[in-house]
Amino acid sequence: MSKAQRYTPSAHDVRYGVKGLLLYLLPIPSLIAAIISLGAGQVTQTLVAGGAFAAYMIAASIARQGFKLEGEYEKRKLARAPKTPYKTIAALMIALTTGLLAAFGTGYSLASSILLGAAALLGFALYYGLDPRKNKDNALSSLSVSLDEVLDALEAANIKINAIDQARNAIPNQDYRQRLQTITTQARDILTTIEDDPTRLSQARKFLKVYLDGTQRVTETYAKTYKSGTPPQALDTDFGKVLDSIEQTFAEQKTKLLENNTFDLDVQIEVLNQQLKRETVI
Amino acid sequence: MAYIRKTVGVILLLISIGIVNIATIYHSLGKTLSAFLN
Repeated sequence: MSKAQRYTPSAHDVRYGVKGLLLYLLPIPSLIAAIISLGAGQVTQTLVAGGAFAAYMIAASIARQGFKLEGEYEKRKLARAPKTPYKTIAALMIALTTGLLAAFGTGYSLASSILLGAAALLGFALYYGLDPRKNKDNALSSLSVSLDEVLDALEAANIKINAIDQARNAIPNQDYRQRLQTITTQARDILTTIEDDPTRLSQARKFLKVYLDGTQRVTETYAKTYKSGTPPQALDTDFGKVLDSIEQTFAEQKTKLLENNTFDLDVQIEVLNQQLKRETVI
Repeated sequence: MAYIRKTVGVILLLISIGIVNIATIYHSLGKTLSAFLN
């Protein structure tokens, strides 16, 4: 069974604050109208106003999802266009709701209702904009790697980093936790570096795979030993040594990667790989 | 340019959604009052 997980870009969490608040505030009168109608026992008017309010709220929530995805898209140098056009769906829902509410909730003529719906759609498109439809892959135009290839590699690496973070939380030793945090932070820096310049992917691919796979395996194995009691002193010492090597090698790799020194990179990786195999932790 | 676009956009949103929603209150109140008076 595949162990693939959905990629959640924690390093790129986007704050989008109160954007879309207007979409929640503007329909409040229809809620008041629904309450008035309910008090007067007007079933149809209550359903129309209440239904419109509910539709506006759903549309606003869909729009917020769209704003969040757009924020992530804007923040990244390489990104796929959102698969689901949340903002467009929200805009259409708001336009339709406005048109129907105008026609059935207020008694506007059909032409006026269509016009008001169209105005809402245009207003949304102008104020919030619609969803980005093009992939952001300008940096790849002159390269042989595709956007999917780069993003898949970054996503796979991010999943491993998240797994290391998760295993780290199960280790009570504060010193090891701190060092593992430094390692994952540096690993995320490397991913950002690749995102900035995708030409580095071919050089970093082996490095990311060996380094992250090894670190993930070692950390998870070490964390598991805590579940069955305190690990033996020898294992503890070995883990400390492995962390030393990983930290040191990683710092060197990062520098070499930035200098585009492929040969040195491969040699260092081989040394680290041998060490990971040699240590008794894995 | 973006500022103008956003200003026009927000005005259109206020006019369309705002007016329709406020009109709904008046419509509901009107119906309620007419039912009460009858």
